[in-house]
Amino acid sequence: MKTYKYITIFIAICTSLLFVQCTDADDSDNIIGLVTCDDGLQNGDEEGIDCGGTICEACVGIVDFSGTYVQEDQMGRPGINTVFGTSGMKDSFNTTIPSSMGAAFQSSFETKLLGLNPAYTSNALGLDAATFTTVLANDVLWVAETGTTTYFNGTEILTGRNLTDDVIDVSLLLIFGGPAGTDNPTLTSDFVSANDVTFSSSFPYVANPN
Amino acid sequence: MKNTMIFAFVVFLCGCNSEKNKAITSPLDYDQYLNTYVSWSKESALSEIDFWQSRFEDDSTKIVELGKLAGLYTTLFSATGDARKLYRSEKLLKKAIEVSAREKDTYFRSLAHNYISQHRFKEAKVLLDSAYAFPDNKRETELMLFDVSMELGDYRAADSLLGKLKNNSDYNYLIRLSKWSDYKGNLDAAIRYMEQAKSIAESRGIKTLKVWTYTNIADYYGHAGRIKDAYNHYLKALELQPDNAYAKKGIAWIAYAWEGNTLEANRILDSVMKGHKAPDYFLLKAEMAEFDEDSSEEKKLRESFVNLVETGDYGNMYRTYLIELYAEINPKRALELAAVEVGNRTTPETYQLLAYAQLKMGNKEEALRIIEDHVVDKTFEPMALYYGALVFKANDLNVRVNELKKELKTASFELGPVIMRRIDML
Amino acid sequence: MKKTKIFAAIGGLGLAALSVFLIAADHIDAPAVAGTSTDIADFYSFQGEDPNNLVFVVDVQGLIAPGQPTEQAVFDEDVLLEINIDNNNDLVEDLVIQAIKRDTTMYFFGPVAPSQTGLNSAIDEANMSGSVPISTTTDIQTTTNNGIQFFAGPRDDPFFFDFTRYNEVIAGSATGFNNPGADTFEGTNVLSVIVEVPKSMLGSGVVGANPLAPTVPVYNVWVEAKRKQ
Repeated sequence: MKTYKYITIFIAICTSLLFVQCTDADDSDNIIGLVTCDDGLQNGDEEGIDCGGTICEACVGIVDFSGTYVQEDQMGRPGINTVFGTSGMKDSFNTTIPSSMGAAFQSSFETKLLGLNPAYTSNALGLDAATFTTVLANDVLWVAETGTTTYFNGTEILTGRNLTDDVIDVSLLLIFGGPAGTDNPTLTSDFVSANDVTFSSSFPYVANPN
Repeated sequence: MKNTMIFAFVVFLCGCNSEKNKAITSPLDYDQYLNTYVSWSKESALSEIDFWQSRFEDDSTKIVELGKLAGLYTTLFSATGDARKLYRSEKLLKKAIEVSAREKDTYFRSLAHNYISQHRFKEAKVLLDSAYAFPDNKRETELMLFDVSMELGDYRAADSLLGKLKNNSDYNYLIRLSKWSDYKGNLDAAIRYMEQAKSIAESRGIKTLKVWTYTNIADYYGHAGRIKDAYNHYLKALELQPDNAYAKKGIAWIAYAWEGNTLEANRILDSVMKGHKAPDYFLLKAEMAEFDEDSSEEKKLRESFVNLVETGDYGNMYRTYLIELYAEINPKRALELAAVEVGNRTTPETYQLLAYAQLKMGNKEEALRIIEDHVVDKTFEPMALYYGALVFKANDLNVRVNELKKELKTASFELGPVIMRRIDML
Repeated sequence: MKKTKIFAAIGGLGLAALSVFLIAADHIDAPAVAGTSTDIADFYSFQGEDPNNLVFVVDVQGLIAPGQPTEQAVFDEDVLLEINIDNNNDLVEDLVIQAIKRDTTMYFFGPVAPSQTGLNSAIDEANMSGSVPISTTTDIQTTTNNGIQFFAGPRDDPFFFDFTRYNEVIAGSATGFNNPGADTFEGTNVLSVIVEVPKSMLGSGVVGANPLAPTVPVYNVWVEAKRKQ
């Protein structure tokens, strides 16, 4: 189907202050231009050649997706960069592929862990410093194929990350809580246990913007 | 295209083109941006400040709010020209440096940026060196070190930083490469790199980047004599940000310098000055009064500028303008200020002012020495060459005056008709 | 015009407008020299309302104030968001879901085996799985295609954390958290890309990845932000 739209080009002549000597000429002109969706030009309010805008069909088929995209940031588990990001590793951490992360970052994570909590021996998961930081340094999120997904719900551990999961408390507990989770009670929770807005049980789950 | 042809045809028909250049500006294109006295940028910054301020409660431990508010006060400064907003931001950033546990380099860079806006370049450099001592975000710091090295006249450092930063698909690199090319006198290259940056900004679809790029490339097009392109890019900026004062000033300059239409240029500036309080508009208005040979108005406007700068708490921000101004009426004061400015940064642009002040003090030999040692062959900036020509003239070096005159004629749009008139008389 | 000597043009005018603080939920990332909008704020993955589906939530540009700042927030069209799924526990992606903005639409590709793994990617145009108009604060759009659901646009930031107090603890000016704490992210928004995929499109998970639940089959998932070169 051929579609047309009319564009009115209104040109007021000699109204520019430049031409003061002839502004009294009451000239103006209406020119009707014709813009079509098959003229091979990007004109009117088209977003591409003969597509998009108010009249023509959307530009979908000819959207440009070419090019090489190079990594600048990545994320698996929450807060890893915040808590364990030691000075000087941020840039490299963001551009190291997960299969190389353990070798690259485990030892600096361990140093950082023992810096944060010098008394660290083990945590509520029974992981010593080396094992715990080995788990964390491979910064990918484990998600269970079936069943409950949660960062920690009292039973399941690290089987995904729900919107409601208090991931900060889990992290703090595992860093500062000691083997029984009872050490350093003022450091094992930030005492903010839920989002200020409730989530929907249906897609897209996350609440409308404020 | 159609539009232009018809317009040209109309001009021909009317036979009323008595000015030396064909009209490029038309109020039809930009009136819509002049008539809105509400500054959207300002209102939007203010409402966002309200949001963060209500959470902040002046509790300086709140690092997120500190950072957000500091950024917003800087935005507010850009939108209004009110220097106090910049100082407010400075205070917040100092506090942020103090209380932040991580990413401190971030706040050092932000404060350095604030100091660059305040023309406190040496202090900015010190802050960037502090930021650079942190192991993260080195590239961001290097980008800013380049900026401040250019300001301080440390071109070797700037050159070597640019080599380190090379990445032709990085917007941040390209705009700096463009500035560097301009400094080297290669305007074609400067335009080419800014055009590459422009296509990145457009492809990313980020409004602030697009506006910044359009206004900067418009300046370059103007320098290259491509006035229509310059005008179109100022308009593109205004389409995205209707209260962009810089773009409006650019259009006012075209109306004045290209079309000789001071009435329209003043009308544009008057609308800008309602919302944006930077003093330099008075200088441009004064120049136009001079063009119109209205010396009492000119004098009044120059006084307004000085008053605003002296009372407006602008720090160093307008010192170079003051030097130019005082050179005419109080050369001793100009010389003092120029000496301070050269102490602050040793660039051809500051030395040219020192030479000019010396000239006006009657020290033509000293002026010549400064021009020869620090300006000639070290910059392609037209104003510097103009001051050079004045100094050569005073020293009866007419061959050199004529050489420079020839060069300056190619920058007539950038220099504007008043300076060109003076150059013609040399 | 006197040449824009204000190199502060970059320092001043430009950066002033550009030095928006991009603070991510992961969590406080640097302010940008000129907008490093590749910063990922947050990442979630959980079982959908339909237990046969898995949901991925990718957040960028955290801590956006309500109102105009949220209305003005846009995805960067040069930034590809890529969700990676490793289903054999070698920590190398076997499948990717790619999302990128063009004009007012977010386009999605995959899940599909990537043409190359690692730091560089090309968009797999042949495997476009759907698209969705980017939602505004008032016009909420979702689409479904081949059982995959799509959303892109501003959301309430689901993250919660007393970051202020955390900063003080780390800085050494406080010895512990306040009870109750104050959610730094309360009332703020974020830009989200949300996609819900039938698990059948992701292959089978693998046991042994999670030492704490060694018999539970899992996927290793993570998200990357990649900039067009």
